Amino acid sequence: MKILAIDTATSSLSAAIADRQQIVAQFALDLGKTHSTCFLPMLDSMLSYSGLKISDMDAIAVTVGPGSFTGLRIGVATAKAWGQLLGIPMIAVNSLEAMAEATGSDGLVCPIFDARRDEVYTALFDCHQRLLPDRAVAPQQLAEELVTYNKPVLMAGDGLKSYQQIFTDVLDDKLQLAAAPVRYVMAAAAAIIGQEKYARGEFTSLPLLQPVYLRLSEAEERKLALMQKAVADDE
Amino acid sequence: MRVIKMSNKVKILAIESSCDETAAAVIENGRKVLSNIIASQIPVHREYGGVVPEIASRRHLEAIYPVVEQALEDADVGFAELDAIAVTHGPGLVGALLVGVSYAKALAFALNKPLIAVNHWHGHIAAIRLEHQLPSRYLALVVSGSHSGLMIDGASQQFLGASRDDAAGEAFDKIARALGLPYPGGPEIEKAAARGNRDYYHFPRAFLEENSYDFSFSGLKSAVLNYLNRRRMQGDDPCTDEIDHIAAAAQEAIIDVLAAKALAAAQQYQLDTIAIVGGVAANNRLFQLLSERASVHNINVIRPSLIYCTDNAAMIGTAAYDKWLNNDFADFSLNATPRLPLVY
Ligand SMILES: [Zn+2]
Repeated sequence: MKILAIDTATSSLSAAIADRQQIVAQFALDLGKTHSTCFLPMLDSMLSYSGLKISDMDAIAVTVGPGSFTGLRIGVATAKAWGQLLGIPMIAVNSLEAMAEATGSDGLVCPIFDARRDEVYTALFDCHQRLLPDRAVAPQQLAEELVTYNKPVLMAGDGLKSYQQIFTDVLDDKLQLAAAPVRYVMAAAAAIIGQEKYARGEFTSLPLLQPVYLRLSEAEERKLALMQKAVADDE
Repeated sequence: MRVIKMSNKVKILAIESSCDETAAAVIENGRKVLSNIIASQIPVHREYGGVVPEIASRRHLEAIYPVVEQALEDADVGFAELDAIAVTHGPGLVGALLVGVSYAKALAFALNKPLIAVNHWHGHIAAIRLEHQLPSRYLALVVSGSHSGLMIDGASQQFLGASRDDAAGEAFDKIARALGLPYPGGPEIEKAAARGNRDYYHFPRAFLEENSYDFSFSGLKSAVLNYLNRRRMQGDDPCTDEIDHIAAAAQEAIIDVLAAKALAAAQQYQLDTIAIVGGVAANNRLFQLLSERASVHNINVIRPSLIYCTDNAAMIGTAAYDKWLNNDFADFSLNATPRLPLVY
C-alpha cells in the first residue's frame, strides 16, 4: 500500500512515499524559490528515481494547512487534480500536526509557521496529543504562554526563521529547536499520518478537500469589522 | 516532451482562472467547442465593488473540480482521450492563475500528456475564430478590463498601439464606481447609457499624437470624476436620470476613440475586416457605432458571441491549438505570470 504525501504549506516543499510503514522516498527543497516552479520537477525526479508513477499510488496525502494561502492552494490543487484523474482516496493532513510529528519528540512540541502580519500559526502537542487548537497569534504572546508550562518546549517550523529570537529571549533554556533535518520539512511525517488515516478510512471527498485558512481574506475581515461596529453603535 | 501525434481529431482540455471566472472547455481541432463551462464569481465580488484577489483564489479552488468534471461530461470525453492540457498562465491575478496552473500541470503530469501555456490575450484574440472565417489579414481591436490595443492579426502579427494608462474596461469600471453603479462596470454603464442621452455632456476624447494608435483613458476618467465632484460640492448631486445621461456621455467618449482609431487603422493598412475581441467587445454600442462608420468604407466588423467575449476556456483551447501545431509546449516548472504582456 503506497501513499504519496505532498507538502507546500510553508517555506519548504517536500514529497514522500510511504509503503507499508516505511518511507521509501522523500525529497525536499527549502531554497526560497517559488513553489509553483519547483514542486512538480522535484516530484518528477523523486518518482523517476523510485521507478514509480502517480498512478501506482493507493492514496494521496496533502497538508491542508494552516500555512501560506498560496502554498496551500498549490498543494491542494495538485492533489485534487490527481484525485479527479485517478479516483484514489484523498487524505487531508493538518500541517501543524505533521510538523510536530516530524520532530519525533515525546515531550511538549510547539510548531510555528509564518502567518505574516506579525503572527504565527501554531498549536501545542504533548506526547503526540493535541493540547491546543490551531490559531494565529503574536509570537511574543505565544512565548509568554509557553513559559507558563515550565518545562522544555521543542519548536519547529518556518516561523522560527523570523521569530526565533523572541522565543529564545522569553523561554531561555526551556527552548529546544528541532534538529535541522526535521525543523522545516514534513512530507514524510504527513505520509506516516496519511497511513494511519488510511487504515482508519479517514478520507476527504474532492469537493471538501480545501485548505484550512484559519483567517478570512482581509476584505472580508474589514467588512465583518464594519458590520460588528454598526451593530455595536446600534446598541 | 516527445509527443506522438496520431489522431486527426485533437482534443484539448483548457482551463482558465485568471480573474473571477473559473472555466474549463474541451475543444476539438481548435475550432469545435465540445463543452464550455464557466463558473462566475461576479455576485461574490459585487459586494466589494471589485474583484477581491484572495476571495477569487479561494473560489477558484472550490470550483475547479466540478467545472472540469462538467466540461468532460458535456464533451463526453474521458481524460484518456485528451491530447493535451492547456491553461492560462497570465496575465491576471497571481493567486487565481496559480489554481488553474497547478491543476493543469498536475493533470498533464499524471496523464503524461503535453502541457500548453496560453497567454490570456491570445485567448481573447483567438475567440473570434470560433465562429468566424477570417481573411489572411485583419485588424483586431482588443478591449478588456486590463488592455486596449490594436493589432494586425492573421498569418502574421503586427502591433499598432496599446493603452498607455487605463484600459477601456478599467475606465468603464472606475467611472461606474464613481457613478455608484455596481461591479462589473461595463455592463452597468451600458445599461444606464441605453436609458440616457449621450449628447447630455461632452467629455474629452484623447486621440494623442496624429497617427498614434495608442489609447489613453485616464484623462476621461478624471474628467468624469471632476465633473461629479464639482456637482457634489455645489450640493447638486446628479439624480438617477442624470446618472444615465452621464453614463451615456462617458461611454460615448470611450467608444468614439476606440471606433475612430480602429477605423483609421483599417483604412491605413487596407484591411477589410475589424474583429472586436475581449470583454468590452460585449458592448453593443461599440459594435453598433464602429459597424455604422465602417460600412461606409466597405469594412466588415465582427465580434464573438457574448459567451466568448467575456472570460472563458473555449478561447484558451483555441489559442492552445496553434501551439499544439507548433509543438510549443510548457514544462512542469510553468509558473503564473501576472503581468504577461501581449506579445507573440
Ligand atoms: Zn479576459
